[in-house]
Amino acid sequence: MLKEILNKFLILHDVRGVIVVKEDGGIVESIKSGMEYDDAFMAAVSTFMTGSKATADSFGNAPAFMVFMEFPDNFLLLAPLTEAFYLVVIAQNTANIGQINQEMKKNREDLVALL
Amino acid sequence: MKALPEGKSLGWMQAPASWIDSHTVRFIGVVRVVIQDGEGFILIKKGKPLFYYFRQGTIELKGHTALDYFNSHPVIEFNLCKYTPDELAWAMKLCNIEDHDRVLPKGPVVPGPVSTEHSPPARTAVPSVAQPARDTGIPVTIVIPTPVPTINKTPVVSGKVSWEYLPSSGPADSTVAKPARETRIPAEVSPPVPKVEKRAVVSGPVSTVHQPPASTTYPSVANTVGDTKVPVVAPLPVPGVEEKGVEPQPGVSDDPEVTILSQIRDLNGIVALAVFNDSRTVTMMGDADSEVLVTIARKMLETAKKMKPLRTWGPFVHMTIQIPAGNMIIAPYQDNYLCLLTTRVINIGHIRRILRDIQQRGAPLRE
Repeated sequence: MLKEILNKFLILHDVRGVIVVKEDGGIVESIKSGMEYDDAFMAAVSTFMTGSKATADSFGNAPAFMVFMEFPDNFLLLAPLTEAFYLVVIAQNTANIGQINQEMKKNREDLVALL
Repeated sequence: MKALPEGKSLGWMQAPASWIDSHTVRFIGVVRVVIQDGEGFILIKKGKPLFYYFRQGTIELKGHTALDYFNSHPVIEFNLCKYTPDELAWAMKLCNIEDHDRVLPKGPVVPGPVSTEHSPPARTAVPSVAQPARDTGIPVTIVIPTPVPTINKTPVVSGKVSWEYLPSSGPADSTVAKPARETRIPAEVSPPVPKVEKRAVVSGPVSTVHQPPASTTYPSVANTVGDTKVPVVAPLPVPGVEEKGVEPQPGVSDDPEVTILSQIRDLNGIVALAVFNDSRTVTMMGDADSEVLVTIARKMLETAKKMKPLRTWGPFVHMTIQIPAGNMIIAPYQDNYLCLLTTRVINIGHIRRILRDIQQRGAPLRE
């Protein structure tokens, strides 16, 4: 069921992967399309989560935060589902961030209900 | 509350809000707008904006307030969704907009003498009638158009509908903006003055009764790191408010690099910027504690550098962390790193554009 919802992101233009991650970096669920997830990549995603969380904590009262990390051809978008669970979207730079954000808003409640 | 009709999506775009005005002359439908965590729409009928709406959290903006907010962003992301006449009629009904074009025939229906009594022009007499919104019981003010002295084949309707900012009385649209929770915004809280751009959008008389949002869900921005009070003070990111927390600094040199940085710092929404490296802060501009700013920036950089398995993706271009109070951005800048602290008026798209501008100005980003 969780994968079904994550698949809604995957069908968006140029989205390559979607991962649900815990705030401690633990991977809950993941799907991909046109890319490979190896251990090193998952470790990087965990680092992305925990490092971002540590940075957000520096701001004091910032319970929810979103992180965007851009590379020449791809980007990672980390968005909160709850305070404990986050969604990481991996996409090519040609993907539409607004569309991804809207999909998150549409599906956040359903995702949270399954976590 | 029912959702606005979906319509047929023509695609997503990023452009200034003014682009929508000038490129929708034949367009009938809804423009769904996404700005940061908020969503809204503009209902358009052949170039005539009928309804502006935006919602972020519990804050709802309507009419010119929403338009001002759209205009306060250099670029917004939106999706043009085309409507059939029936869908438009349904959407207008949901927004409590009367469709005069549909109701009134082109010619006189009842033959007879035309009254030549002088009717005051619409601009001078616009009695507003509080009508209950559909099934909410919350009044929505609609300005009833008064008769125009001349007889037109088509009724003058543009700009006659006035939408006040009324908390929790949004249109029925669960797709773009879900119905407001029962949140009443206290009127006595002194509201911020929205940025009003001198720009006519609707071609007719428009009543702009305006109650700007009086409360926000944004937390205070003065943060603490440990026991240290951090003066990273981003002004409250209230929609529509032009925020510039940076005083021009005296003695800006003619150094082109400093000029570029000064220009970036002066952009709307930039609170502070710093150029730093592993050992020191090279340049600091703006209203923030450089030590704290750079400390946080280095944490971000540390995360970026740890993303080693992604090196096949090439060098990291930029990283943005978005908290309710604003954004913190780091990007490679020449031999150092650039850190920007911004308010929420700047979105990711804007940040990417700024960084591209820096590259084009000869300050290549590198890792």
